[in-house]
Amino acid sequence: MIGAGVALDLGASAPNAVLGFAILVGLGVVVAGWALLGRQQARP
Amino acid sequence: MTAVSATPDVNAPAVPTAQRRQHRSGFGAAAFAFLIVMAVATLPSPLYGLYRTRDHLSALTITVVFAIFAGSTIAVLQRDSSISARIGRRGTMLVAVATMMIAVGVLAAWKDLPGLLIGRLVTGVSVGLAAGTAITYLIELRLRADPKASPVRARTIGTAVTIGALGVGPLIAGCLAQWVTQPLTVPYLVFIALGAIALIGLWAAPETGPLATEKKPAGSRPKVRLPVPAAAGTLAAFSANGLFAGLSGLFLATTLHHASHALAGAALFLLFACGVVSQLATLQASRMLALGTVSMLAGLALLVVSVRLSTPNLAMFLIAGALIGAGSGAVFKGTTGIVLEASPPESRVAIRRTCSSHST
Repeated sequence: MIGAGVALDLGASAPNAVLGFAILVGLGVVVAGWALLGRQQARP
Repeated sequence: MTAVSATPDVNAPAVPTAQRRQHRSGFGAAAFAFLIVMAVATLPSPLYGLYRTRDHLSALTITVVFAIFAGSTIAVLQRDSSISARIGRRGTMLVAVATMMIAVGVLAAWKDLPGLLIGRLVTGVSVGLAAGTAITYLIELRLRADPKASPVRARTIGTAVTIGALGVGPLIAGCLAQWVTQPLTVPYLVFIALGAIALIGLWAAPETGPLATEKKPAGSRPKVRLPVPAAAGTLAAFSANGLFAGLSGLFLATTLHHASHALAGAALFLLFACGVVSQLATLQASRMLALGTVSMLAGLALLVVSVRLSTPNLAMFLIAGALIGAGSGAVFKGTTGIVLEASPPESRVAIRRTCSSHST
């Protein structure tokens, strides 16, 4: 939210700001979920 | 000085019937107080467009207003245990509601930027106080009212109130802003009145914390570190929520050409209501996490498509919000569940608190 606000203030269009942050957030969720499930399976 | 334990008192002694009834009504009063304090957290979201137009505020200034709120909430959450140890859970909730009333009073009376900043700073304090105490208080009230009751239901109600209230606030503010003559005053006055009702209810509610005879040493509170993937997952899930919540008003007004404040509030209500519904699901934590991730990715993809189409699509935009809300609720619950499964029982309350501060 804060990042998107800064991007908009620097002149990014709203659709471009959403595209950029959607990619970042999506990657974050996938990588974090993958790592967490991997840790869970590795636990005895 | 008496101290209140940081963990719910599951093994409370038997309580007479009259006191049980008092604890049962206290549960309702505490849930209502928690609901209205959390609702104020997102109350001004549909009103920021009005502030922006009225005072020519930039997107960065609105971002600073959000950041000040988040910063004060996190700062208070870090100290919440010591506050409730000094004044008790009921006392903390009373202070949280009174602080919320001061915050909305400032917002109603002082509409310029300094008033907005101070009002949101004080709102963050009240939300931090309530968020760190209310769920434990609700569990204890429920167990005192019925010692055989499952604490899980009280925790579920607390979680539903936390996220549901975030949707109720903008829905009320959006509808009032749409249909009353003073949109930057009336929503706040309504919450001052609701706060007064909550104060009366809490005043009659009993204190629950097991009163310790000695103050615990400062180092006795379990310190926990969330695994990095869990912290990152929670952060990403609530970033998606924040992205939709922060930009939906702007998109509705500019890209989708629907400048209705009521619609802006309803879009946020949909986002958070879907978060509540997904948290009520009783699935295995790993499955919850996987389903939440898929839902959130689908929602983010739909959001991007809905605003980049040559004719932007409102229905697609709202479905995107619902999927993101449901996904973030499921990711939060799945992540917390996986971490809790791997944690010793004495660390679990602290882990929940840490997860909450990440979600803020």
